[in-house]
Amino acid sequence: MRVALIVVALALAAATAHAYPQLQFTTGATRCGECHVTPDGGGLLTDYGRDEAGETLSGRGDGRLLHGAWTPPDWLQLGGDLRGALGGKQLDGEAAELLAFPMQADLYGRVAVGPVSLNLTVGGNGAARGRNADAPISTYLVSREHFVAFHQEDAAWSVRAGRFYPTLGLRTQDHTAYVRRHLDMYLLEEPYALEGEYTRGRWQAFGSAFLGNPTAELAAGDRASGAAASIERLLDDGAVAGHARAAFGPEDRRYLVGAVGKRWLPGPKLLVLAELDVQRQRLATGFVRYQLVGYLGVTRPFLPGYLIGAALQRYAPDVTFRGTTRNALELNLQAFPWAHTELHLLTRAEATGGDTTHPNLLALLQVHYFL
Amino acid sequence: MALSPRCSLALGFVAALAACDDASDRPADWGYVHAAIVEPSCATALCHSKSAARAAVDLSTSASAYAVLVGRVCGAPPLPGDPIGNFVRPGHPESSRLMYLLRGDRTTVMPPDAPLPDGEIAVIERWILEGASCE
Repeated sequence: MRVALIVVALALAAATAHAYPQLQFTTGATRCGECHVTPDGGGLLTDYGRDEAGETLSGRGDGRLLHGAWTPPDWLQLGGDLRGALGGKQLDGEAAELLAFPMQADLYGRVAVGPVSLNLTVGGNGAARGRNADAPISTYLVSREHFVAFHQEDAAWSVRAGRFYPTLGLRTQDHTAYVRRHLDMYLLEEPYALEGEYTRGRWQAFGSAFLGNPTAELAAGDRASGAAASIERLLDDGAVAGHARAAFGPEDRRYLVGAVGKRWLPGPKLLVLAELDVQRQRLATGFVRYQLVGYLGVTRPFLPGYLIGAALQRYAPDVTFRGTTRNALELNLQAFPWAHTELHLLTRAEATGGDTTHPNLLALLQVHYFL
Repeated sequence: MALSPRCSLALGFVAALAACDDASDRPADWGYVHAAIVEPSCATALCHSKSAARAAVDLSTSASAYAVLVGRVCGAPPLPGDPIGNFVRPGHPESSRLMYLLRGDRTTVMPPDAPLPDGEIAVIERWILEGASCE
């Protein structure tokens, strides 16, 4: 029981700060940067985003920092995310197990002087699990993101340099989603990057070059270096995007191409989100394989502050290798009953190796508070 | 005949609909086992990455993973007796602790959040059976 609690907590703890793509279009916002400080979304909210969190999304409460009790000076922005989870899981053939653990404890700070800003995220790391006896301080605290950004007011472009995920794909807040978990956007896999962003009319483009984190003690994944690009075009009720990435790691070379589609259907009030990625991986031994990652989700807002959704996910680590594909079906219920608060019930059935008759089951109720 | 990247990509799409290879079609060498299975599945941030190294097991690099699983540095002569931890006994998957962990046989299955598919376990088993070389 204890072991199960710990290991699942490990997999889920210290979630990174990404955006909620299911709030794009459903709340009237069309770009991530309308509600978030960074153009790719996630992390600190803009003043407009805080207003939206209180008034549009929840319908009650004050979305400002500390519920409006203190207003920081214009050059300073602060925020944070706290998450905990309660639930259970049942792996195929094993007994059901209860889970309860902290998921995230991140604080965000942004200091801006004119068009230049310093952005920093500091958080707890894997607090739910006992550490090795000789664990260094780096295993307790971690800074997943820290970067310097340059953006002149009303300018069509911006640049940033530091540690963050290059902009790519749906960028969901759920790091266990296949389009993050299996595309180098899991936990602590942020590289150091230089990224430029350009927005004109309905178009928005990102281009970045990145280096794997040189300090292995502060990172995970294969710490590859390379370049990425993505471009999105807004439609009347949605958006389409394409992206590509080349990543060169110590044991492989990977070339990724993918597409994203977002479609808001105002009649039935349904938001459809989809992503499909294909990756060619050439191992250092010369072996080549193709990987496929897919996501298809639908979300419907109902009542003020409630979202219900379902998603299908597919990950094939080697598309010609029979019986290695993972498929998942998940149902989500999200409630934003007051400004700053979120309740998220996630249920997921995951079939490994194509055997859909014996899925692994997971149910988690996440409690989220943002500063 | 080598296929162009474009043709290879198209074939990949088709193959995704009808995967036909099995474990015997995959190389049972350490270069494949680590890069294609162990590193992406096990060396995650809070498990067996270098920073977390749960249970003192660091699987993040090919060298560190081989050393901890097989009990000796790649290229070094075998030590007398069983390797430390007995994760892998070259030539003997039936008595290698790693196989019991991957299958959850009388122990907690690894990886605990997303157990490996049988095909990948079969490749690892064959690598051990064929001597668990690091070549």
